[in-house]
Amino acid sequence: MRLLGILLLSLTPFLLGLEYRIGLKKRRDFLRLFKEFIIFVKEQIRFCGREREEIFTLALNDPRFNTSIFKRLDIALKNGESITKIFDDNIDIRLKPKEIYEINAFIIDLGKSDTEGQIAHCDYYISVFEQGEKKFIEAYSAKSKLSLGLSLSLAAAMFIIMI
Amino acid sequence: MDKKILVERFENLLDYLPERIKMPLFALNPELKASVQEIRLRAGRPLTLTMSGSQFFVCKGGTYMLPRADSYFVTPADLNDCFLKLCRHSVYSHNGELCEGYISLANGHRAGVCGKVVLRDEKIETIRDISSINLRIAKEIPHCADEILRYYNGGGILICGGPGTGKTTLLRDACRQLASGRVGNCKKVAVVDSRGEIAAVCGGVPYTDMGSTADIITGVPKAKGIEMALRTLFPDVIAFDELGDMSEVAAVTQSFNSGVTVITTAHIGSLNDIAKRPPVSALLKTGAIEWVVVCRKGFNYTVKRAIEFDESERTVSV
Repeated sequence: MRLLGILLLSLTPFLLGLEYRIGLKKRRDFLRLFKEFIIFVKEQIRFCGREREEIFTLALNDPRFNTSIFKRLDIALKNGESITKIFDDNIDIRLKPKEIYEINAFIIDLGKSDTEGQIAHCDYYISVFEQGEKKFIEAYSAKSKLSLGLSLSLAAAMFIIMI
Repeated sequence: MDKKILVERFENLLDYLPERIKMPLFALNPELKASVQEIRLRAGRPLTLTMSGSQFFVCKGGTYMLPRADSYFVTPADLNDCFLKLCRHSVYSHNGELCEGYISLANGHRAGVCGKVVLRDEKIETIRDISSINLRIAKEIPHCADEILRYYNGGGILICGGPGTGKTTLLRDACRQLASGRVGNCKKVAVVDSRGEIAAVCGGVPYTDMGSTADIITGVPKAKGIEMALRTLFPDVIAFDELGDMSEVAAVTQSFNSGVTVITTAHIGSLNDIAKRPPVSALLKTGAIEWVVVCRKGFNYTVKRAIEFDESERTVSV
């Protein structure tokens, strides 16, 4: 029993480190997905001239975007609710304040100008998210390895100390 | 039109307005609501309503013919909010209409938009910095064209009159009746609705009753639309609003020579002004028009034979 307790306690830092890695991965995947979403929106505006609400409804029919966050975004837009609150309340994907700000800024100005203006708006945010993605990938690989190494070391140290 | 329907149409339009402006309009009594023709928003100026062709200012105490200290003023932010609601937050998807100065709304209403026009290569690219919006309430008056159609025997009809005299309303009802079998069999009526004022098509659906056998072409110049209708729709009747230039007269001549009846409208004050409008006098010379309807304010109209301009006339009030 003592051994089991020590094992479980030792595993805790490792599990925390694993959770941190998974959180980073989810954040990375969401930012990539949102960039794809902006590309989707741009195509709908450029080639179909669909209204904003229609674009969101169409996006939800796409398996890539049929997720709870996009559904909540759709509802928030229809009801005039806060976009930032969706991400503040979301414990599954923890975005940084700067990332939430960029998403909010993209959506708030969506539909406010003519076709050319909207395509430029989408292009700007595609490049913002691409640059963000590059920086994130560099940081992710470093942080991910570091967190794995640290958590394993801490787990081993705790095991040795307690045993 | 039923008063309840008119009030409902007025209240439908209020959804496009910011709350600050919506509330005083919602509080108006039903008689006033039923008589409103337009809601006009102008940046930095009082909110006005058009009723019976006159302007009334909306104030805290009611509506008055002159502005007062307690008039409701429209701010640029109100205009911007209204504009985004009219475009359903998708300005880009209404660019074509904006270049013509209007936005088509559900239920057949239209919003005329004024602002700073952006030109590119001498063509209108878009409108921005909206300075005023005119929300025009769509109204149909069924059977207003009854008296005109009493004379109909396949000959063309020209409906003339000044602004706000009901020319488009008469044209719309004439098309509806012809396409509904109220004048003989149902006629195949091709409506060339360049500016969306006749059939109020929104999302492919006409929001006014155009009858069962009407085909509606929207967004195309009238002369081109008439040509398209002749070639592809094989109509019995072609209808379009506001005869403009000689290209349209040429298209009408082609229709007439193909055995198709034409019903159209023209901006002229009286038959004496025909000579001042070369396209109108050229149209009458083609022989395509058998009856001329002259409309006056208060929805009075007179029907006259085009060729003879004789005593064969009736004055009708609707």
